[in-house]
Amino acid sequence: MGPRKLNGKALVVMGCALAGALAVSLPSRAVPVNDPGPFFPLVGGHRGAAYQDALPRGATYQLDTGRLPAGVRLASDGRLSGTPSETGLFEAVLSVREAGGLSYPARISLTVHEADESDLPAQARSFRSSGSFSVDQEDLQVRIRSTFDQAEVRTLVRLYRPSGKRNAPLILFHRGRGFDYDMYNTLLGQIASHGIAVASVQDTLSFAGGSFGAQSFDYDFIRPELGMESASGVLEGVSDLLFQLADDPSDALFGAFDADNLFFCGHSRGGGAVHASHERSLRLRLKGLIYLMPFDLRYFAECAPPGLSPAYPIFDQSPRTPSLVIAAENDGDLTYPIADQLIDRATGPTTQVTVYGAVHNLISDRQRAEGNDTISRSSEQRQVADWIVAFVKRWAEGETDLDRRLYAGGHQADEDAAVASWNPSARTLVWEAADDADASRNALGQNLILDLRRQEYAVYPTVGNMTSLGLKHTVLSPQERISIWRMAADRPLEVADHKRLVLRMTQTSSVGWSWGSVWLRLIDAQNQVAWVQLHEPGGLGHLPEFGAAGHGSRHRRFADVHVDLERELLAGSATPLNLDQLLALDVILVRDDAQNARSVVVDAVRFE
Amino acid sequence: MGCADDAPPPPGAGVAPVVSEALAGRAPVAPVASSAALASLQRLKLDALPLDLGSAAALGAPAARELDDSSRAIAHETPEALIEDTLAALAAGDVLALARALRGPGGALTEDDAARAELRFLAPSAQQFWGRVAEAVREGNVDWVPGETPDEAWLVAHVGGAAGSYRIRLRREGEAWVLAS
Repeated sequence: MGPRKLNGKALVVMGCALAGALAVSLPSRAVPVNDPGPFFPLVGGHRGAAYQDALPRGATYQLDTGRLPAGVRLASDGRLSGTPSETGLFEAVLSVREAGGLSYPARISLTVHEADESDLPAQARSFRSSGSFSVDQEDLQVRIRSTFDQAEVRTLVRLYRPSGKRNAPLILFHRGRGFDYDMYNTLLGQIASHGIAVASVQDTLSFAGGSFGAQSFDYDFIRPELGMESASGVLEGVSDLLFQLADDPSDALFGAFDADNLFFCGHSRGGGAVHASHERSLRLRLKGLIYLMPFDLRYFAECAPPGLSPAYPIFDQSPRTPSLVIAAENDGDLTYPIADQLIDRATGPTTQVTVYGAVHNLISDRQRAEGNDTISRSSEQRQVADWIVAFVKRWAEGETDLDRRLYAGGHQADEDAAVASWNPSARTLVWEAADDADASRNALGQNLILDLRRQEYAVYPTVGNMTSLGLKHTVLSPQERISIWRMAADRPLEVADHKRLVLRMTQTSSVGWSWGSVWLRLIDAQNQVAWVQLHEPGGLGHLPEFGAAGHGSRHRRFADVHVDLERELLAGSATPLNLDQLLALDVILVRDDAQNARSVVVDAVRFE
Repeated sequence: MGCADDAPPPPGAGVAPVVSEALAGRAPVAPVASSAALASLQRLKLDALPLDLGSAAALGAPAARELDDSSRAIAHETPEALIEDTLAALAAGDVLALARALRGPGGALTEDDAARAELRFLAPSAQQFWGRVAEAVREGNVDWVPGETPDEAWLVAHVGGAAGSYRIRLRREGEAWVLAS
């Protein structure tokens, strides 16, 4: 079917593959139709454990629809407190009134697990196989107005829709530089087969594609950060338009998309657009953000607050909006890998996945591998789609069993990917994140060392403007065969009600973790001891094994270690350790291969 | 210092580790790996490690070991010369010269300087990054952009692809240019 133009103010002009006529006018406002309001994921709760959280200050809040768990109250100033007495996912819509009189709805989501997390399955579901939906693919040509620079943008949009599904979650996807919007059919089709609609946007304005140059040389070449912020504005314009179509009973897309479940996703520079969108995610009413081998906009000094006009600032921390960050281990393009630093700044639920052996280009259908790929294109596409589907189903469809793989260690020591996450609950107790100015102190007491050098600095490559973030990690360099870093507490800690001890770890040698063993020793106020074996050469289940499955570089990428405090402590004294009187945690390094051992890097040590 | 062999028995040490059936009042089933883990613990004599680190542990890190410089010279007089010599050192895999490029001409190099140079230049992703920078420099596809102050400069290497360009910040410390960290 040839393109079909509409008259008047209509901006959607062509339906290349749609059977019906499209008659849409320019969106008159910059918020989605049927504004669902900003989305605030609250910190998680546990049944029977004290709970508190707070919504942004300066407004009054009133529960409108939905409910909170029994035992949790919402005060009019946005503070939540109490002790939840039931488990589950609790979603509600609030009426918000700001001091200036502005009113709007806001969505909140609170997940309450059992105190021992027994409601989380041991096994994590996979979505690597195709889902049950057949996929309808259609192209639109639309004209929208970018909210970044008010430019009128004519762009192609490829829709991937799960056949027959109404009110589907919608992902707005932005291609990377050097890629076309139709180069991701396998990946996006795989996602759609699981009941998720995807709109892939061409956007010739913001940066070059595979088959065209960019309309703006400035955005593409001179100030690429502007191109990524422009791409965010284009995605916003397209999403407004699609929801307007979905709200029009006369349109073929009527009822197709669920405005309550809008996600922005992008690859490469499109991932930079996701970062720009993250900064605006409350205004954009986003449910979640999906970064694929992305640019981090803080790479550009021009994006550091206050921002060099017309760039808007990218602050050190973004809103809590749920995020999934996928990096390619052997990325030969965005090689820094700057995307890794997003997990260090996470505020809301965040999962950082580094796919072993993956490269920048193989998630597309046509671009040849640019780096040292050690997995196939198909494998890379399926793994990326798997994570995206899991993430969207968790946040759009409330499938909280997926918390196991996204946030609770379901993928530790995974053979395919390094996974790190941040999803605090009200009981999260951070012991050391190296984020203060005093290396001799942790958050709860003193740091002691025996036969190692302990320093605090970022192990990420210092490129672009990333050092302006001031990130730091704990870097442990053993000096002897056995060495110890002790996190001491000034007073005994009560952690018996916690389920997991979590450490974000990597190491800097070129031989993975095979140079020795890593142990934890927990000591209570009565000098009772318990041990945890995190790793020994050959692999023991907590840290990635080096060199398996033909991959040779499983190092220097952070992965979380989750220690189950109920099941994994080995008693080291006659009287059992008292987890309500914990006084010290030792990280013990046993260096068997002094020639190849380098440093162990630890961050975000916490009880969950 | 070998911390296991000569230490006096600490409180609780010498007690043979046992698999706990009831830690802190709980009654978990220890994982299958437990017995193997306990065997490793004993083989490594970790159960003999002192509990009280106060007498043995330093509160601060021991001084970093000093290292001799590479015979390869690194010029610090101009940003351009620094980059040229850095890329040459990188091509030779000369970590000590790379450490000097980061540190500047003053003071003795240490093992920490070398470790940071390894991370910045010789990590797998870093090698890809610098390889593309070297190619851009070789082909003249670079721009030098002044920083906000005269003591700062940016090398913008036009590498193409999705990234388009890589940005490297240099700063002047006294009279010497170094790669900013």
